[in-house]
Amino acid sequence: MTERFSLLHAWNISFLSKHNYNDPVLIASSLLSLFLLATPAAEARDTFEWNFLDANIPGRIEITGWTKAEPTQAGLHIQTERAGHMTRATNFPHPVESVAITLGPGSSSEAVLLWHVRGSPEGDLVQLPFVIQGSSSREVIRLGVSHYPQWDPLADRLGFALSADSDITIRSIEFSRWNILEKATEAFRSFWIFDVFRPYSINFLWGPLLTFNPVSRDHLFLSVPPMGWSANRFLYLVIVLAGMICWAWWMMRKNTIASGTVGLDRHALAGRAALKRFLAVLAALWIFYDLRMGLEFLNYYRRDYVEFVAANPHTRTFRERGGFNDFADLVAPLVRDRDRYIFLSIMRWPYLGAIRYLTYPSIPTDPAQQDTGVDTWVVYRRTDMDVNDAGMLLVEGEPVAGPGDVLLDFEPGSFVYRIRNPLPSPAAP
Amino acid sequence: MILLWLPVGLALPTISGWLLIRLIESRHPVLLRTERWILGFLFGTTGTMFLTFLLHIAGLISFTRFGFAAVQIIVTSLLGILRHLQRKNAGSVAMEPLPSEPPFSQRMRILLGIAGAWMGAKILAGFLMLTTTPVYFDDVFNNWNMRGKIFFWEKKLSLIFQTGNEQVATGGTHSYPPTIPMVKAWLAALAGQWNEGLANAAHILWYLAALGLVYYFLRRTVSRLAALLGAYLLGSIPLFLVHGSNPYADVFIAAHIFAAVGLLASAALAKEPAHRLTFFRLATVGCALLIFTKNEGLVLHLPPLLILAGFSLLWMRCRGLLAGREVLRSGCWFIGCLAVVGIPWLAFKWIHHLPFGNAKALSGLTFAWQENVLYAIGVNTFFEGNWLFLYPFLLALMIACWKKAFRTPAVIFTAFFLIVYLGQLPLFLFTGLSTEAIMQTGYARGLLQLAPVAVTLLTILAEDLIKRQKILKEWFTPR
Repeated sequence: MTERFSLLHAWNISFLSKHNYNDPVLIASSLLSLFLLATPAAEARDTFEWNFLDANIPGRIEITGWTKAEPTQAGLHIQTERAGHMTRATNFPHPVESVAITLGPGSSSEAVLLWHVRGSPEGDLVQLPFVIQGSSSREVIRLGVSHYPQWDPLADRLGFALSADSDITIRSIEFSRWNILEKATEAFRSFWIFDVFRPYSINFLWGPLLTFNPVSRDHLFLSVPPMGWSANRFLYLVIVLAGMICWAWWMMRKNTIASGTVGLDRHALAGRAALKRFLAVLAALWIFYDLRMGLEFLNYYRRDYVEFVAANPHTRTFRERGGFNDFADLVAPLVRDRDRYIFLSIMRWPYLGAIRYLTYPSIPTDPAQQDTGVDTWVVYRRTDMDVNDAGMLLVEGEPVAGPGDVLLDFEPGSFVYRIRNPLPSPAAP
Repeated sequence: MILLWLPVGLALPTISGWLLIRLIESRHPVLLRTERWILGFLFGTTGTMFLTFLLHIAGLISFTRFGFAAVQIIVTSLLGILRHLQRKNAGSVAMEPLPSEPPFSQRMRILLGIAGAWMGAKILAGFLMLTTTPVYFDDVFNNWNMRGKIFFWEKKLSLIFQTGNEQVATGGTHSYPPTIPMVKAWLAALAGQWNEGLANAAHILWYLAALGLVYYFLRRTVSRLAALLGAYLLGSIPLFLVHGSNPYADVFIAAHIFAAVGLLASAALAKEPAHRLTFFRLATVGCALLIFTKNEGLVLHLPPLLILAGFSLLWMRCRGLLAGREVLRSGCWFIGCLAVVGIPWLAFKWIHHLPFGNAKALSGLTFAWQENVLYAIGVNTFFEGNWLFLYPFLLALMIACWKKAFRTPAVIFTAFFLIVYLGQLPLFLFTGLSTEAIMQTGYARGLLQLAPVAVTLLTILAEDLIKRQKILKEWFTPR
């Protein structure tokens, strides 16, 4: 069977999730969650699994491309030199919201979850890439598939693909769903999960998001855009409902206000009371939202304080930049008497711009500049670079400069190196 | 301890600003006492840096401790002498007291205390974020702080910096007015070293200035409760707080924008001709200084202010609120102030071929419908945590209280907001600047810069709605 794949790019996934099969259920869960106190995590859920232990093969599996896929006591062992995939008809007993793949010992690999959407052309399979870290014992990979608009909870065909040179053992694949009360609980809990400060935070803040199962909640804010529904949807719904209730209340009251009050317009009285209630709801929602976002802001600094400001200078980290700032602080005095130095890092952004600022007026340049007399190399998180016993600077084992000395050894792949006898700078014209 | 240089460094510019305002007010003080100091800080800092810039490009001073201080001492002294002479000749007149209001109920005082403590906690966290954490965002280490550091090290206004590899960077962010980097360079020169916390600390003051100006405008023109509400609402806008807590320039320009719009609206609201003229002159200074904040101050915000100032004068003339001679004098004052700031700055940009766009040139943009922009705009405005419910509520109130929004002097806020907001939309919807909307960069900054204006308008309209329905009295009258 020729199967065509449509790749589910992460950046195409809208967190304003559209066309979800159980939208009304999710909406009800969200409304319920707004008024629900947090309850202990509900483990109860509907689950069924495909078990591969004891050489069991659940159902009829079609394998294409793999050089070896063998049922064993420990599970389905796949050891392949070529890329390939496996699929089987699903016959799900209930809609599926998350998929958990349990693996035995194996190597790291890139994998793709495949599924066929009912009604789509046969052979068209949607792909969801994921990474197998590889483990010496057991690894569980949980995928919150229900969030993706392309997910069909009753997909009639499912499987996954592996890249070449993969070596994994599948123990089981578990399929789960949660009931409305559990969804509501998860939505409430996810509402109070805060994002962390990231480079995009200066341009926008995601705000509170709702997810409806613990798998999606665990992954909230780990992808861009995040896997969740904007809580604003439901706050607007509350506003609309409050408006409708107040309007209905006004309609009922305006005809029943006591006529004994002389000189008063009973319509105006009823209208004023209804508006007062509606404005009170708006004010309460604003304050509630301010509380949510204010706590997130305070949490930004709390993390900064704990992880950086008050932390041990030798081991602290700053947001997702690790020890870069402390590294730069140690580099600055070493290059102060140099107008230029060579800078290499794991990624150009943000490190090049940041270190240019932090070491100014000493300017970072690229390796070609060693021909113009630049004698200092600043290397950050380049585990492919090292200095050998002879004092030669190596890139992937090949010498590129030297001999020289290591002035600062910050961490593996992060150091400052200075050539002992640099080439003279070109004479000024 | 190094942070103590902050009040030392801003003292003279603030006093200069205060003196300038007092000179303009003359015998007709129109601002509340604290408001005058806040505006003095805002105008004085920007105005002092502008004068320093002029003297520097004229070759008279360098960006040294002496150079900066000399300008400030001379300006403060001159303004002080002028003010002294003015007081001597004209005497000093106190501002008319505001109408008295009944005291707050105990319930209200408790609520205000809680709200104040909550805002204080957030502002403290923001201040600590500015002063105790390293640089993090691109525009900080590529623009605002980077240029400040270059000015400090080179002791001059440099439009280029070496990027290594015999290359230099020029244009782009160097096209921005150098006000903020100059403030940072001045503070560093004062301290004798570049310190991140000190360089960044002024940003929280601009954030507080924006809150203070919103509060005092509403205090003067509406009521005490509306003022507190407006300040709380602005302080609760999450993205505004994030910007106030990081060394970006958008809160700085937002404060300037609000100062200009608020003063212009105050001119329209004033009851005495002398007060109208005073507010108008102050608004003129605000408009002129807007040119020296960010590029969009000149390109995006000044044109609608020009239009609104012109219409305001025309309206006041038609209603007999100002004499023809007064209108003419005000117009000349307006043009003169803009020329004092605009001509040197525009000439400088022209000579050095600096673009006018927001770090991108506006010329050369082609016109065509851009996909996904409307969706991105909708998401940013209504479905993220940036603004709470500011813009949906504002839109609803503009409709519900349309008479107040469009047929009273509040129309200055309404018109300014709509002109700027709707004026930007075609750029995002039809040109290559659409990336600024899709990536939620330039679009969000545009809304951020309008936030104080939007919050004030929302407060005015909400207060009008509540007052019309007489709800306020029922809620907050002391028993």
